[in-house]
Amino acid sequence: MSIELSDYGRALEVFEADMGRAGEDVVSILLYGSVARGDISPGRSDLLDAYVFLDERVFDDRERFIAALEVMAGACERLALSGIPFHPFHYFGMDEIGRTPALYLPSWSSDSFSRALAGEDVRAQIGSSAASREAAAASFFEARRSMGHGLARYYNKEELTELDRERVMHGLVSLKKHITIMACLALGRWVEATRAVGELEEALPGLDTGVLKVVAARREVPPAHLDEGELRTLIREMLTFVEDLHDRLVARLRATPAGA
Amino acid sequence: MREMHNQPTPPPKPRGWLAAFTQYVKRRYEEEKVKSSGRVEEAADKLIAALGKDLHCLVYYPHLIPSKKFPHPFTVGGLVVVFNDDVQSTVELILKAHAAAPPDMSLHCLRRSELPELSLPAFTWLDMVNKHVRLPYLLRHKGVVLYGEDVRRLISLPAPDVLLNLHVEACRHFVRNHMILGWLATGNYAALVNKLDWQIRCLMATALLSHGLLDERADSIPESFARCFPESRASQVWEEFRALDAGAAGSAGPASRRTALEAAWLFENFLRCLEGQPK
Repeated sequence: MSIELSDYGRALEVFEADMGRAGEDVVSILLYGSVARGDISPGRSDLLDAYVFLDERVFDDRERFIAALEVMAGACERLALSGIPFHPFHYFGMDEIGRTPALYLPSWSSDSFSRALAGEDVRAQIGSSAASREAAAASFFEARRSMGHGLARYYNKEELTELDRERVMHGLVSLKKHITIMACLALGRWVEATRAVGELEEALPGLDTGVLKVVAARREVPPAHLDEGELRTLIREMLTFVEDLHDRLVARLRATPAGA
Repeated sequence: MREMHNQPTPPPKPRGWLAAFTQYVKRRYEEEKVKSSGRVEEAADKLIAALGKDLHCLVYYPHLIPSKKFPHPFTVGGLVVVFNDDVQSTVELILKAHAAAPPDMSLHCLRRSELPELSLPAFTWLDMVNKHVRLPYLLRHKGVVLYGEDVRRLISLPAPDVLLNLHVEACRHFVRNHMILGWLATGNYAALVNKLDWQIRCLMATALLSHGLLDERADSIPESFARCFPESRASQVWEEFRALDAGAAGSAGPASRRTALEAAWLFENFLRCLEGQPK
């Protein structure tokens, strides 16, 4: 099945209509990611990067909550049938709007990165706790070990199965997207994900980001067609990038007094 | 001959000399059990041989995830591989360490001066948060030094309430979409109920840090939680969750969906109770 750009628009219309069944219990539906930015790659961009905010009273009443959940799960079922790559959206109570994860705050700062699909545009109210901001700014260090070093286990494996290749590629793409934004947050630069690489190149002169471009170019190759030797080289180069980024980051943080 | 350190660090919040002595005996017992486990020994030997003079120390810790499958110790555990500070490039060492360690063990590689990074808060994927949230406590209080310097005293302990709030935040973000909506949409009702049960136990384990409790079996965690937080409505919510007919969730028909929806409702309630948890 060939996915066209127009299919995304139609899927969103159906989603909006489905969510309308919850009436005023849905206060706001916000989009972020490629659909909100308007840079959809048909067939590759997935649905649905969205935050749905529910009336906080939904969480006080068992039947009201279950009714809202049925509407949201039903909307997910329909989206999954569209043929477009799909993952479920996030939902929050309006009383949680000031306590969303800080890692994603930059997405809500501009119309270039997010937009309201339905209901009130509540982006200006979205916030995070101080602890969440602190965690977002420190997440790079855990991600370095779990996401970055985690790929090393495949490097010396005698044979990479198709599933292994898929996991390696997924890990590389995930690192490209997330480790860069986490590094920016560690530097106190709260930028949206698409701006992260440029921001790092500016903040840490000499950082070689070449492997990120290679990963971006190879992500559309089916796992079965990925050469084992090339994947091992990519793992080593990504690990080199992550470790270099870590060392430069630590050097910068040590040289910059806290709060400066 | 490999150097080993067996001195236990003080147990968390001992109450009276008898409690402290009991903790000490338990800890020595656990350390001896770990060292007598051939699997950890074998992994340690391979890592020491692979990393040579660049290895500063090696610490084992029991796993952090309460699991029904591996009630105690939770699973096979994890290893912290500490390189010397004068190591210039860590890339080759990380590749060697991962080649030497069993793939089912968590592995943390870093230089000695980077040890404080293990205690930093993190917001990553839920399975990583589930593992990371109790790591400093397990290292400090349950860690066993297999080689080199005893660095357990260098591991700082984040405030338990901060960790709990981060754990709740990660659940709000990742459980609601991937588990609750995702599995309701695909009709995976029994899996949803089981996973929410497991996730509630993980959250309880984090909450118990504020009472200095680490050595909890997955099946006894709810009981300890109820004992430590007698005034909390979270314990009542758990009782309601436990009363759900898990068997119904695995059957066909509307009853199974209703059970899964009820489980999601109770999970939401549990999260909200934890946020207002009396300390």
